[in-house]
Amino acid sequence: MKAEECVMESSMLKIIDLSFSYDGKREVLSGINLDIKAGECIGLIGANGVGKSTLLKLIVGLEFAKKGKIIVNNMEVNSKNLREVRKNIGYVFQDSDAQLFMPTVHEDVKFALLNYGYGKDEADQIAYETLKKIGIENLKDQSIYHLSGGQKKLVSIATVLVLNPDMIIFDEPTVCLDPKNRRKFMEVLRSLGGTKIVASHDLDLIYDTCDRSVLIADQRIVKEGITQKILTDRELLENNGLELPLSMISRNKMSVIM
Amino acid sequence: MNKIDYAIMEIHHLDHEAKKENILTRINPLAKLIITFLYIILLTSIDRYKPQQCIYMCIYLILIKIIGEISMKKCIKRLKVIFTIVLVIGIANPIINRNIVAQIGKIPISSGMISMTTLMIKGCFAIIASYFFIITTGMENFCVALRMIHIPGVLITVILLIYRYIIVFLKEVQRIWTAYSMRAPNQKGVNFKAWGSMIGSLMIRSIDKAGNVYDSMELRGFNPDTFFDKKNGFCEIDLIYFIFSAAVIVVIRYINIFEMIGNVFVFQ
Repeated sequence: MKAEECVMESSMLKIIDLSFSYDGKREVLSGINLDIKAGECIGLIGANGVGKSTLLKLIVGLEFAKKGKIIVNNMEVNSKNLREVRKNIGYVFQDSDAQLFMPTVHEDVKFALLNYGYGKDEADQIAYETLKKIGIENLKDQSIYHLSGGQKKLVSIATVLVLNPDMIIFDEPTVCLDPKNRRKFMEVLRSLGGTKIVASHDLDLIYDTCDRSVLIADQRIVKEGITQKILTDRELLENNGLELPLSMISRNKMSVIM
Repeated sequence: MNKIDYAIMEIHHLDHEAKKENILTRINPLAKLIITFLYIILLTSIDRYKPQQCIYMCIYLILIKIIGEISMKKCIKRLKVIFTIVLVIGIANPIINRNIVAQIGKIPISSGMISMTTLMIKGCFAIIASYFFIITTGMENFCVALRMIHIPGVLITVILLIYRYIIVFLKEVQRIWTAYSMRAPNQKGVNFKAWGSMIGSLMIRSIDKAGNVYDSMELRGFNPDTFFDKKNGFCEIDLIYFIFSAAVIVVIRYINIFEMIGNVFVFQ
């Protein structure tokens, strides 16, 4: 029992035998077991429709599985403690337009603070400091509607970072970002402390930023391990509907030319 | 900028203006709501054959315009469609009611014409008062005011979400419209054959997006039961505003100030 407690303490996220189905018939995820330690940056990879986003939704309690357990920071995710769980997890949506709904950047960033009972002045100050941390304090009074795609993504990060969560989840974070904004996003991602889960098809991003990767296919975890090992295994990737990261392909081509 | 872009921007502008720092935006939303309600009630209670009494009611609107630093130009621009509808409301009165009650030069004035004028003035003033309330309060604070008078949280959440849904809906309309017009460059409008599928996909997509927005709100701690209860109660400035505004409205409604001033001069 004590040994189990010890393991639990170092775990930020523990998923035990999780299975999920939307319609009660066809399973989207089946027998998922995963243990993520505090401070790790995990890449969640897999072809379209394998259940990456569903798994993320289950972690934050937007969906509930009938079978299995999800334990975040020693708290089991269930309908009773959602508020506390969600305070510990930041979720950055794939579509920033869905994440940002207040009239201005500053108001959107402080939305969560006000909901968690912070006073107006304190919320103003923390929101400003968060914007400054990401380097977008100049956007403070901008209307959400006037932001570019890259700016929206950074503001989305600020909206979850403001609560100083223990874990941040990114769902396809580099979709629609141009190279410059992608680079900026990667800088921000690297600078963030805490545990991070990045679900993406952008394998170059995963290769550059994640310590460990989890490959999902056929409703289950096919492979889990060090990112560099998984993302250089051409056969493994191709068997599961993926390809080597572009940087690896060009590196291989270069070595053939040389 | 196309019409949909413009509409979305206008909604954002309304929110922006409600956040402007001035005396009116700082007043408790409930105080403003009650005052606006009182104004509309007293305005609509004016006899339909007394248009001059309606005109006195503009004093309150002028005061709010000055204190709230509200642009009348923008107000008329934004409300022009509603004004047009309001002006049409009483149009049948002169036909129904043809009793001649006065004459200006050679033009006979019927009681129907008078009641039509009163209706038009009442409608326009009521809409301007509501606009002034929204522009100085914002949708979120309006919901807070509703909560303060114990309207159920669920109902208020629906109002707030519908407001947010309008923006999501407009953005989806814009996307679908762009996608359609790019593939049908020579068409004017949308072919009737495409209407059904277009509206269907528009509804599905916008509802899906609205669901995501609500998820995002929930993930950041939004709770309809507590969200609208967190604002402050009445303070001194709210009370002063409330008493002063109520007094002004009652005075201009029940006391004929201009007649009183006129009488003073006549007696002198």
